[in-house]
Amino acid sequence: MARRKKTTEVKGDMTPMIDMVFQLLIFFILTLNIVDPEGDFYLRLPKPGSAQASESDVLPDIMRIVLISNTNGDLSGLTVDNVQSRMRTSTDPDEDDLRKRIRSKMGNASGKPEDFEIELGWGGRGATSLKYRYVLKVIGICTGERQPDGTVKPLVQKIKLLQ
Amino acid sequence: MAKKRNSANNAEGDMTPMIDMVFQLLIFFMILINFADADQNARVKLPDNEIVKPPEMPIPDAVTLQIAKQEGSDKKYSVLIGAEEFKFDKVGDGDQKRLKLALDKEVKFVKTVKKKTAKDMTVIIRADKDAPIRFVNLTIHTCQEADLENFALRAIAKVK
Repeated sequence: MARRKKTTEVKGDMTPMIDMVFQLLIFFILTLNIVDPEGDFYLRLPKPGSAQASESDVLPDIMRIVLISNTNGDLSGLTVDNVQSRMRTSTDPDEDDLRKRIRSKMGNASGKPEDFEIELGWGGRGATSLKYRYVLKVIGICTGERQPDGTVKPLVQKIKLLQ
Repeated sequence: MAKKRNSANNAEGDMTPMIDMVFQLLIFFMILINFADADQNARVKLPDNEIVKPPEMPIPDAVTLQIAKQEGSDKKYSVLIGAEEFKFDKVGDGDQKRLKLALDKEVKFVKTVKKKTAKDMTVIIRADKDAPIRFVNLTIHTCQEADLENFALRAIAKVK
């Protein structure tokens, strides 16, 4: 009987531990911020050299895409090697049409497909206020295509921004 | 005496299930917490894209530049490195030179401490989706002045 009493004494007071655990719990709940997963587009953009092709030249291994924007900075059209490209909606480029044109030019390129390059420029009345999201969208279309199984089929490896 | 003590103990109830639950919650939040994303900025609303994938490991020797709307303005944007803000409009503005100096300092740090060059470094650009491309381009131009040439344009990975 006396022994049993001793075991209950060893238990000790749980209150401070529970207090601490609650403090920690509240700390972690408050500092938690759920963020959407983020990813990157990797571009190599060396300092532009002095020898640059003129903007109107059409070169076999370089495709020049110009984003045309309206005065609000929204996309209103785009040209691929000086030829107007189709739009899906007023601000959305037709992704399939653009990828088809990239693939056909890549197929005819003289160099290796991984050396094929896209130069992105902007024009139109609101060229300088063109919103960044449209540029990123076109970079996405040129970089690859998401397949139904979730993988990405890569397209162009080199993308350059015209200054 | 013994009877009284016993009844008092019973009124307390059994704490074990609650403590178990609290520990479960604690461990859940501890695992979920993410201190690494401290370089985020609430003023930057990133564009989303379905092609980007979260990187498998953090980018080494990276400098993060945030391009956010200036407070109290709906047209003007500025560049942030950490809490330091650079407001400029064209090449040669005071803050554009200051940004170049700040980038030079980062490059110098990597050169002396890690024995690497500016070509091994990456600039992570977290630009607001509505930022004008002219300003993003001006920021990239300033980085190029500091011999930086690898850029990572960050977007939210959207799953279709």
